[in-house]
Amino acid sequence: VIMVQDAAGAAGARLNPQVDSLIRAAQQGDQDAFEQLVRAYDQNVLRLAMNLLRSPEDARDVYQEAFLRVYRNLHAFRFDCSFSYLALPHRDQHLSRPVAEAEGTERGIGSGGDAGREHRPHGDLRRGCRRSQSGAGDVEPSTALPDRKRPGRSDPRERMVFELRHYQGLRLRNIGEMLGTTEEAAKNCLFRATQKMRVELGDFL
Amino acid sequence: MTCDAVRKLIPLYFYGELPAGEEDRVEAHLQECAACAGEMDRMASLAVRWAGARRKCRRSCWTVAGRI
Repeated sequence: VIMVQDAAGAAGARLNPQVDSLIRAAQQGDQDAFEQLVRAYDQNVLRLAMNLLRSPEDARDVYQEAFLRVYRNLHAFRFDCSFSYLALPHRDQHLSRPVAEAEGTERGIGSGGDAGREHRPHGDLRRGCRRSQSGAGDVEPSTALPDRKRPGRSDPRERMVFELRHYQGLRLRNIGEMLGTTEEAAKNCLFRATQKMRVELGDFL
Repeated sequence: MTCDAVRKLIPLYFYGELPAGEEDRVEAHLQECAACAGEMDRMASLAVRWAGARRKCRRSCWTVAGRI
């Protein structure tokens, strides 16, 4: 069993050698090596998707897309970042989205700085977050307030930052790089997420 | 530092994400202010609870994994 520790490591931490060798083998076309990588990371990816989307159906889609993305991009992996980075939704994935859609409700995460000029790398995750948590795949009316404007509701990016910092142990500087934003914006996300988590989990805890 | 300023920094302090100087100032304030120290304790307590909530969530994730 391969222990996946890279995401929990400190900034710049490298993978363990066993994972590196599997990646190299998979890059050379070894299907067994790729399957071992998938097995090593699949629960982390699935858990992350579930935490972000809160919908098994959407989580499964993201999970499958993530490993498809890994498969397609594996040849370009240069061992200078976490392997998990390959599986995360990247900015480029959403470049084909209409600009108006991407910027529609976006006001930036931070109160200042360059947050307002950010891309929204996880814009598609909002679709899943609008699903009703009680209904089976019901979608809330389009007139519903955006996640960001609902009191006590964290948006997908805030949940992503919280997930990566609190559960995966990544530093905010690295999270900012992964999400294509600044460390400052990631700090703002983490602050908002922790505040909202108190509210969201109030009944659950 | 004011209590308001410190409370906004508590999550970052908890995760060790403050620059050294700022961290020292927050720490000094926490040693003198019982209310903010209580807020810090609450943050730590919530973090433990989040871990517990995560374990519950993980069980449902395993169910999903079985369907994939």
